[in-house]
Amino acid sequence: MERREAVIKISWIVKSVYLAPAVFTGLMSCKSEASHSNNKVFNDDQDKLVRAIADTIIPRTETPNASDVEVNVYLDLLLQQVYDDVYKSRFLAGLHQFDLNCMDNTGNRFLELNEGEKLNYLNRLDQEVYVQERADMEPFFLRFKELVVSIYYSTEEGVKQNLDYVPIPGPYIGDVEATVDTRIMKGN
Amino acid sequence: MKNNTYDAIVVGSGITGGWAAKELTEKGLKTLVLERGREVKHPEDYTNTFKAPWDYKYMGHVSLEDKKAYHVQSKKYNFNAGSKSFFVNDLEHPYVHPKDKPYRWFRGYQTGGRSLIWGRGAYRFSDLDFEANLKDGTGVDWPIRYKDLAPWYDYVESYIGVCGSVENISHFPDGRFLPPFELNHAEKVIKKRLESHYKDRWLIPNRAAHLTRAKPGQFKGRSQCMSRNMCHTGCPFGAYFSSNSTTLPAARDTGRLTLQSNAIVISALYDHKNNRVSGVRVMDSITQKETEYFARVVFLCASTIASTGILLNSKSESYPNGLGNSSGVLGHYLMDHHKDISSSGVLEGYLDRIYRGYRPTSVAVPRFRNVNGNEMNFLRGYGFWGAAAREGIHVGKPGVGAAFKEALSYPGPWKMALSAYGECLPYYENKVELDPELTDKWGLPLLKITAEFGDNEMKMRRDMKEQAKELLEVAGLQEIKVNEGASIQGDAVHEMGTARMGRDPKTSFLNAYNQSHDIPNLFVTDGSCMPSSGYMSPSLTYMALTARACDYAIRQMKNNVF
Repeated sequence: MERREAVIKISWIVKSVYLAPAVFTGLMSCKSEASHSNNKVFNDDQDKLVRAIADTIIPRTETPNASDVEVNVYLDLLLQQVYDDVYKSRFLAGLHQFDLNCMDNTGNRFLELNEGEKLNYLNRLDQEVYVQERADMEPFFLRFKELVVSIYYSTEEGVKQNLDYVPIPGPYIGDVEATVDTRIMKGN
Repeated sequence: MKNNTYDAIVVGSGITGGWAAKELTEKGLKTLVLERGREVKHPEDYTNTFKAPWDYKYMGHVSLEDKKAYHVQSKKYNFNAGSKSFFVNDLEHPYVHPKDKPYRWFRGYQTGGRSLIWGRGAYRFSDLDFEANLKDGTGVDWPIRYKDLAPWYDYVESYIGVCGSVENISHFPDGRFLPPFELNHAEKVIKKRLESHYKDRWLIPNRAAHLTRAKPGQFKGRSQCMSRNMCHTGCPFGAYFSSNSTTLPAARDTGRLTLQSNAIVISALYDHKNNRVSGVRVMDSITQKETEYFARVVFLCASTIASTGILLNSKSESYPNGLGNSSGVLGHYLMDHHKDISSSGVLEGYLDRIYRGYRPTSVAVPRFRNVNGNEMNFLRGYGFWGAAAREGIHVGKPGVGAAFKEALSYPGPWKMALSAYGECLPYYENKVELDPELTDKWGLPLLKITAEFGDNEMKMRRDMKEQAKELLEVAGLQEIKVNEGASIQGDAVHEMGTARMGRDPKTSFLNAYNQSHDIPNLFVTDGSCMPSSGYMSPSLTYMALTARACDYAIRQMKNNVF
């Protein structure tokens, strides 16, 4: 799948949405099909790195973080069976380069940074990604972030604990008030 | 033979086959409907309709394996894990096209055919469309005018339920409407801006086959739309029109319907002595057993390309080039709408307004080019469809961390998108043929489809692109982007024209009642009958033409014409 097509499909899946979030009820065990498949794309090191970056992007607040809902497991599954080999190898090369860049910039591997340093580093990267044109390399970090966000908001707890999950809204009402507390309303 | 004899045979159970089944059985005919695909029962076979993204292995994504098996079908916007089972497997159902002329043939082989996965737009053609060929000298003149079809549009709309607004636009006739899906706040703002700027452009709620209101019992087992926007998984409420929810149950209620699944029609049987169709030859898709069925009248409703294939494959001494093809037009003049030009932009402000539910329709800007004479450097015209919505989860939103995560869960700004659908002229060179060598796994010849858009469409596309941008500029949007994709024939899934109606048997296949000029008990009422394409979804027109043709056939049978 072309990257652009992937992003379009993802945005379709993460359909629009709103109301108060569900009260945090503790971390649910995700009995997904994905969690039963053995990781085949990421080795242990890569998996740790993926989780560390993903959890810095989407940290645990009163709602789950990225790896609480197994974003890394789904990401692995998508790389295995949804994205083609070119995409997969670019992704893995990007992940490797990410760690090398981190070493160059901070003197440490990403996993060796403390939580505050991780957040600072990703913030820096995020700001760079949005201002710099980088013709010579795939903006890996941006792609990674998009995937993590889209997967997180396709998981049951990601949706139910952060958004207003309403699978059967009833008759459509076209024009209603939105307040500062109005969350994205999400169906299936 | 006696067990295989019916009053009427209908080939196909999709939008037109369902209507033919309903009309013929309700008027007393014992009717056999032949569907080449599997059985899909309403609503119990809509197995994905309550699934959430996390209920699918790949969260709704299409796996690499499925992308191979559905290499054409997976290119459709509504193909996903939830709707996959209503599309054909391309490896099992191949067709061919010249290398330099791609063609996308989207199909659903099951009870109800593509009526389960259609876009649900329901529009009346007007005399701007019915007179177009005559006025600009392209193709053949439609043998009917709006007044001939208007009562049948009334009849069909009242039965299936079409929502829409009364607008009094003469070339976009109003119908018997249920209330429209309301415009959202941004659309109301944009409507006001557009309509105060232009005298001849309107932004209106789309017209579509959805039950926005249903009194108890009014639509027989169907109920009001719950705004889930999950239509393509099959609707458990029967809130959009499909054969499965609407026409086939009506036909079944008469006790005169026999619906046979897995029944591939190979050819129509021709009775040379009486110049009549005597029935059809059918292959069971599972056992490969061949059977002949007989009837007084045969309705081909298998969809444009498939019905044309059946006729081409029905060869006899009298009709060596396809049944009823004395004119030689059968298979030619294939049309589709051209699309894939779109624009989008951001409407600033109005963040205190939103909507509740997921509207399954859009808004429309009816045609505004060449309405009163030809003022453009191309013939005919196009319309826009689109919608405004608050931005949902923004995967590319700047930021990381807790504040970013929190911000993601609130709706973003209003965004509006428009995309164009344009009319395609009938070209002799755009055609469907039987491949002389290749066959499918049932030993039937593959269909070879050769089609491309012409100069007129390309000129129209330049204007479409400019106007897609201009409309959003006039509406005061920011960050306007315009996209143009490849215009590939078949992409709009509005294939039509290969057995066209007309006044002259020398230049057309069907008469004004969808009846073969050559063989009086042969009717074709799917898209193959269309002499021109219009620019909007043709499905409602097919339904009205089918109901009208059934009425005519019954009258002819009463008068013993056949």
